[in-house]
Amino acid sequence: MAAEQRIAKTEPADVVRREEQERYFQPATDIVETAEGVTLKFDMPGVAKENVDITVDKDMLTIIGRAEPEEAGMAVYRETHVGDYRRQFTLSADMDPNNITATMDNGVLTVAVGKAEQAKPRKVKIAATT
Amino acid sequence: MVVDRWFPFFDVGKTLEEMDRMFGQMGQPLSVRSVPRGTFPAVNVYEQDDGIILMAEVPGVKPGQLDLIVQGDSVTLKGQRQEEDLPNGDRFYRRERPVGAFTRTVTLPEPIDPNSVKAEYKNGVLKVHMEKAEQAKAKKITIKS
Repeated sequence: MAAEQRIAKTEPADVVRREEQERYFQPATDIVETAEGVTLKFDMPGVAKENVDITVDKDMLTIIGRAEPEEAGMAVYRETHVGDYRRQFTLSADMDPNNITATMDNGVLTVAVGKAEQAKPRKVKIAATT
Repeated sequence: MVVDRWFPFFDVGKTLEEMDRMFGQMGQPLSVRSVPRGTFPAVNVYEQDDGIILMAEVPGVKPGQLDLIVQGDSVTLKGQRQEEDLPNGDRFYRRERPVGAFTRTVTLPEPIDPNSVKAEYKNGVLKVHMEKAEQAKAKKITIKS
């Protein structure tokens, strides 16, 4: 007990030990470019609508989904681990970080990011010469 | 020198998938939660005192598109995840989510009572509660003094 306390003291405060880090899983993602922007779809089974966090910090889009706790009992057969999801994307300057909409449907999160005004195709009118 | 020896890794793809599964369980901080390709949906089976719970991750599949068949000690889950048609001009940059029809059969550790099966779908997760068959339940015997 005393030895543990001594170790805790000598360690710098900003060191994050690996086992203390939160464990995240990457959701499987589809990315589609549309005429209006980019649509991202995430498979996040077990995540309710209220437990999704979408943040944009400068050009970094972060998606976090908190999953419901795992079933009680002993896992006798296991193909997947239950845990929270996280995935990050860098938005290019052509995307508009203020124009993001998201919907959640049966464990699939759809995030639509609009194109920035300057990246949209424009039609140039030809002035008539008389 | 004898070259003609049995080489255990004849099916490299299967071996890699097996390794994916092994190392996935060691749990790196960032790993794709969906498991090796070909195993969709991912299924976990939990054993409790009197019951067995099967959990399948089927995001984006409506409950009406799922078929659950219980026979003896095996459970079969059939369904389809619709491939979406992209409008003209739209294109995929990245495609990781599996689509198409799937059939998965899982053998349960104990026989179950087919009348006790209850299935519940929420947020893309299908949970099937089953009670163990009477002969498979653990019995507590009181000892008379």
